Amino acid sequence: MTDPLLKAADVTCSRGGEPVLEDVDLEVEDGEFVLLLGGNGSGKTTLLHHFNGLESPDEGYVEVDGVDVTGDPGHAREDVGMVFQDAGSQIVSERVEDDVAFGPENLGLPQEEIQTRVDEALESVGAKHLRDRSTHRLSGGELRRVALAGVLAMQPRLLALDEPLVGLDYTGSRAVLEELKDLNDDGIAVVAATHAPRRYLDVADRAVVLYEGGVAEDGRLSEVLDGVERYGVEPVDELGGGSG
Amino acid sequence: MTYIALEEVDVRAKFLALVLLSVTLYMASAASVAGLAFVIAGVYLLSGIRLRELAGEMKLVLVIVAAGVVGRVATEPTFHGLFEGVVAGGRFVVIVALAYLVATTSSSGEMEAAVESLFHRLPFVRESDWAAMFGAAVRFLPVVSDEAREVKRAHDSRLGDRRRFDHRLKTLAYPMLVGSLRRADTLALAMASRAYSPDRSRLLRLQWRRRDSLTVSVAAGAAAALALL
Repeated sequence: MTDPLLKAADVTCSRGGEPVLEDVDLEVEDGEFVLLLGGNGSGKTTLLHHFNGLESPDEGYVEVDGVDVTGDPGHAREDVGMVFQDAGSQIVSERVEDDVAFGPENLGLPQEEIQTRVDEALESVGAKHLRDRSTHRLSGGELRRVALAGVLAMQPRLLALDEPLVGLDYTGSRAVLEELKDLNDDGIAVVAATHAPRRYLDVADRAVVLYEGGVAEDGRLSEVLDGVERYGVEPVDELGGGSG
Repeated sequence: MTYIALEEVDVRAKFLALVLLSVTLYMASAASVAGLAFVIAGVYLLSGIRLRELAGEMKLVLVIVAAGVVGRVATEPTFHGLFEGVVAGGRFVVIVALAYLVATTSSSGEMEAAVESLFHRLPFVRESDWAAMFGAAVRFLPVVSDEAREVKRAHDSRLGDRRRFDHRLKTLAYPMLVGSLRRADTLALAMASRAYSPDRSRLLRLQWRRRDSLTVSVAAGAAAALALL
């Protein structure tokens, strides 16, 4: 049996003496689409940060492709692309093309390869026309596309997305979901954190519910959703809402 | 036309020209400063930038200059004091206008690459870190300005703060500082999440051409003329 693409084992993490994650176990296989569900403060964002090496566990470990993330965060950052909840806050350059090139430049790739990856990444999120625009003048939906392109240009094997639909209208959400579905069909695993799973019904296979820092449920999305409101997650049959 | 020609010039040449002219301006006579100001105003007019737009961008600079002139007159309340204050302010405005011209005719990526290239020649300096800091600053400045605007709007939406000026300043400065620090922290996380490394390669490679040497030569000639006239 092959190793999972991502493995979190007994991950425990606290902040200011307060536990945020307690003994979290999670495995994600290549090509899976997993929803990480939970209410506010359930530890979703913190767990995503562990996948990319932005935070280290106090106890336990996280491995990406069999390599310990704490020991070699560079490896994890090549394989795991992280998109923050506030996409605008993760834009590091003033011009769209420069921002998308930032990741490949950090990998030390040759100029031609960087250019190819930037072109492909912008194309894949339908943002080629934004190439020369100032990142400061983009709308919320455009910022999210550029942030995603910046991560895709690093050719990750797993996308860790923090509330990827928050703040987007119906059309914007559909566009992002279709992009995610296409990327997932191309073999990229996706872990999307949200408290409102309704919009993901057509795309996600599996859901993991975090509650009070631990894994409360882990299974097929349709099965997990039954009674999920007790964990602070928006129930699927409720009208309105559905922001994230 | 002038604007497009300036866009084609290597940023390093523009940086060097800016430094040469800025340093010499502090030795230049009032007439030379006025002459250079007219030349720059001409370049702006030819480039299609409206002077009102420029004045809007330079509002803060003009406030600083006005405060400087008032301060100078306060220490020497004569016509000479006023004249010296205006000339010093004029020098400052001309330098900022030159820097604005460089900034608007160059992309942030080009400027980052130029910083890296120029610092590459200095010993004990990790040029890629300086370039990344420069790039982050260019990205961060509008973010801070947005933060300030949002805090101001939040105040206004609650009918503003009608207390004393120092109270108003405090209630604006604190949330702005906290917001800016939070954004800086997120920016650092964002850079780390995309595997930031000082040993990075570059999409953009600057190429020094004959017109760049010509630009620096013209700037050196203008600087010499400013110093001598």
